[in-house]
Amino acid sequence: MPKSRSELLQGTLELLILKVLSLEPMHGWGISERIQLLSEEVFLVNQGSLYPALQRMKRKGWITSEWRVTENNRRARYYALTSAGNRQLGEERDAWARSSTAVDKILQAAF
Amino acid sequence: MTWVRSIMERYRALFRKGKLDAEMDEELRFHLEQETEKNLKGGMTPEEAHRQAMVAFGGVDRFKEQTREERGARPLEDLIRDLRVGTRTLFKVPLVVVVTVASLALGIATSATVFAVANGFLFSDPGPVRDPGTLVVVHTSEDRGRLYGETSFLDYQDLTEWTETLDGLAAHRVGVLSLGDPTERDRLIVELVTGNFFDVLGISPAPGRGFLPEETVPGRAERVIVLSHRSWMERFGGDTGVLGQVLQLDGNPFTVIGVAPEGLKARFFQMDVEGWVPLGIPGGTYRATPARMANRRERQFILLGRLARGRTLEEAQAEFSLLAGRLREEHGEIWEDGNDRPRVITVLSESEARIPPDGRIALLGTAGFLLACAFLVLLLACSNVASLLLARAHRRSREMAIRTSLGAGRGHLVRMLLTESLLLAMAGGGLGLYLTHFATGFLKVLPLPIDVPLRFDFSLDGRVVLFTLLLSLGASILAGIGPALQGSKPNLTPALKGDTGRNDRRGWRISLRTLLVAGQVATATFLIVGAGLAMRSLQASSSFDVGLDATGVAIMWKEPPEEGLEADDLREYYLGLAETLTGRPEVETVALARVAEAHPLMDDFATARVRPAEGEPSRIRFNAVTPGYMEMLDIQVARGRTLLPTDGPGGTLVAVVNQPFVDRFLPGTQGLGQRFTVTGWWDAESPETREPASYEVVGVVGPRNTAPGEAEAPFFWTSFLQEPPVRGILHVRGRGNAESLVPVLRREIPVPANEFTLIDPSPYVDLINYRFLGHRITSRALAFAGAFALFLAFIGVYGIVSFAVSQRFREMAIRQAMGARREQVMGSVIWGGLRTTAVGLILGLAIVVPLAFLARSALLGVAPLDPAAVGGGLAVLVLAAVLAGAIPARRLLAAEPMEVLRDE
Repeated sequence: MPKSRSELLQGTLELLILKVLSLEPMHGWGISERIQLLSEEVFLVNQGSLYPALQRMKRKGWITSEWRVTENNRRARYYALTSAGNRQLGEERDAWARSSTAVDKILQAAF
Repeated sequence: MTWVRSIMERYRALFRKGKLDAEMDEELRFHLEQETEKNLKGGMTPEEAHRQAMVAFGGVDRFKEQTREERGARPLEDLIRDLRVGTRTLFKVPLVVVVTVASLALGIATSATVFAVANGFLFSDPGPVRDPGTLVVVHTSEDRGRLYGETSFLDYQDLTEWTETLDGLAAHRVGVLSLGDPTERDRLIVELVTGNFFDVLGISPAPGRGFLPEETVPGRAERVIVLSHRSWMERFGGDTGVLGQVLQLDGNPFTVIGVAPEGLKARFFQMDVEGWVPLGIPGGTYRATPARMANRRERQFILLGRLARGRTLEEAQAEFSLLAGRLREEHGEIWEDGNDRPRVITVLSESEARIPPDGRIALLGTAGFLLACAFLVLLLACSNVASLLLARAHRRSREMAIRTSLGAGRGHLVRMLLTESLLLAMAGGGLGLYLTHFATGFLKVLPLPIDVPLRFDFSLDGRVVLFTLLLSLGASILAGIGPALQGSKPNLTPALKGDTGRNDRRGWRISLRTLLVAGQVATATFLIVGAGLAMRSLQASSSFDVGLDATGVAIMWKEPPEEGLEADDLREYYLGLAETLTGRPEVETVALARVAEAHPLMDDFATARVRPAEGEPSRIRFNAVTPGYMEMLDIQVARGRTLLPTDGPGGTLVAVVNQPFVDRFLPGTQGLGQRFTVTGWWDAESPETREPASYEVVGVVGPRNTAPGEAEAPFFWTSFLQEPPVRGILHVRGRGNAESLVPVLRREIPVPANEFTLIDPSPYVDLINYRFLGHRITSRALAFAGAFALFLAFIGVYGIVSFAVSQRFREMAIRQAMGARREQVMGSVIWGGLRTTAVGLILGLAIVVPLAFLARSALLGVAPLDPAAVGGGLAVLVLAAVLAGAIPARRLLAAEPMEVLRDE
């Protein structure tokens, strides 16, 4: 697996997960589907790297998890945003906005 | 509360790993099912749907590894697993483990033993003493100015009365008492102490009690004893019934009143004694007789004081300097140090007093040197371990490659490999500690030239254990880091294909291992040649010229039966002893002398101040001897005569002098017939009350061969018959060897057990050899280090040759199949080992030769390039290298070439 892509995803992946979970609690597969939709298939989320990210965010206290039953009566682990996660989403969003603005400006200057 | 949750997460991760893993599996299963379902809806076949789900996921095992990594308890969890895996893998290769652990144990034990001995002297645990930090030792300066001497009892009493900076001052000294029947020579080494001794230390004996005030009043003290804990356990089986029992000590009844707390030791808390007895018993104990205790010149007590609350060592020193001045005013000449300077008092903290500052540098220097040698041995062991681990890492490169491709990071592999070396080092450290325990037990009883067993405490206390632990840790990192770094970056493709052995096709590539072994051989060369030189110099020192030939002579020192005999009676007593022996058939000649000149502990037992014709007088050694003494010990006069029976009382005082004496005091003369004047006499640093006397020189002894760098000191011999007989040391030459005289002396001149003599009947040569005790201990330690080094270097060379052979099995097999003769193959293998060894040898010699030239003076007359030491050392090393090559080579030859090739 090409290393560059996963590094590219590293920062944004967490932001995307926070974003998805801010809408409603969701299980892992659901999150990956939602991200796929949200990013309009731009990011090809490697589903394998999703779970380590969830684990990491859980350890940081941004999200919690609990086992629930899905609509089709399957047991699945649902992840939900904590208040710390909510704050983090705000911060990440700002940071993201700042850096994307910066990128825009550089691009404008270059061309 | 994020951090609480975070900690809970980690806690769960560590202790509930099984549950977490199960949850992870379930989550994963759910995800894959959902994905598969989605794919099915998209119209795939079930197999394809599942396969695509797996592809999208991107590697299940990799996912598991990463998820576990993110749980946060990874380091601990890994350590536990690494330890488990490490132990398991190590058990698979018992030989490697045994050799490695043994190597490390040797290296660690060598260092730890040196450390334990130095530790025992410098930091022995004061035991149950209260607040050792405020204990001080008070020293009176000795004759000739040495600061750290002992104090007389009268001075002690004055100081106790005067001091304000100390809260208590106790006097003590070591003594020897007989237990039970004196002829049985069962001796009790005790400490004779003032009544306040236990109070100053802040301990109370239990069971039983300490001394009561009325038991310790000088002159009326009662005969009581407090047993040491060890003595209580060993002699009385720890029975409290011993309290109130009466022991016959020196033929007098002593009541046992208590047992000191476990661990209390005598004399700066280093010496093991059997009990404590009050000073000042009527009639005295041991040397603490009333006469001696009432003599201000009898400086024989160590003073141990307790700083008063809030007082400092500096304040105590200032006060005692003043008190020393007061003693000088009151007692004049007694408080001068023999060179007309006032005596001084030095107050040291108890911990500093153990090894007085003037002896510390020598001790630390020796300890440092030995520790450096021991470290070299450990370094050798480490490089062996490193070498073995490298070989293992090489063989495991396939395993490492698999682990890497499964997603284990480099850091993880390094950690795993380091864990293995840590396990090895810890095992080595444990075994090393065990060996150290043995070695220190062996060293506990110092081989001193007196018949009293001095027991020291070299126990493995916390400091030694900590030292060993750190040493093991350091060793594991030192030995493990190189192999771990190299082993953790396998070349994936060939390693996975199982091609572990043939990447150095070009024979003996200079690899880390080759360098290691070369360094190892260099270190071993250094240690072995050094040990060889040390042993040669020891050999040389035993035939060293001490100015007399003591071969076949036995000596003994018998104290007179009572103190205070008149000079004539004392002389008669000693002449009588000589007479007793002269009649025995085993005995050829008997002589008496005031000192055993070459005995290592008697150098200051007879000194005299001689005034030259011009210039300052100086103090030199002399001896008073009977006729026949000089002939017995082959001290030859170059001019004139030796002492004769006619040089008796009332005749002209005569002396035989040596050539340096003539050069110093009678310059410009041949010496014979000249006169010189002695203006003062000292015995064991105590001045004698004697009028100045003038002697006529009747003989001159020629110069002797001295050690390089040593000048022969002026010396003179007077007639035992003309001098006040301070003591008479019996010198006996027999018809057989000196050893056979010892039982004769014991039988003819029995010494009661309570009489402690500095010289028990012994061959004189043995005692002289104690002059070189320090030298001998160092040499022996070096010899051990050399032997260990040889052993470790052998393993090292063996290891690398054996490894290289395994690498070249195929090549050798082909060669043999092509018709190479066995000797050629064998030679090529051995030659490979020798080449590595040669590099090390040259390197080692390049270090040791200049050092040997630097240390020439310490070699006591052995040439720095002594052929036996250097040549012998090298020969041993080369032999070891050949052997180390021959064994694997034979293994190679034993293998069938065709089978080797087929196996590949």
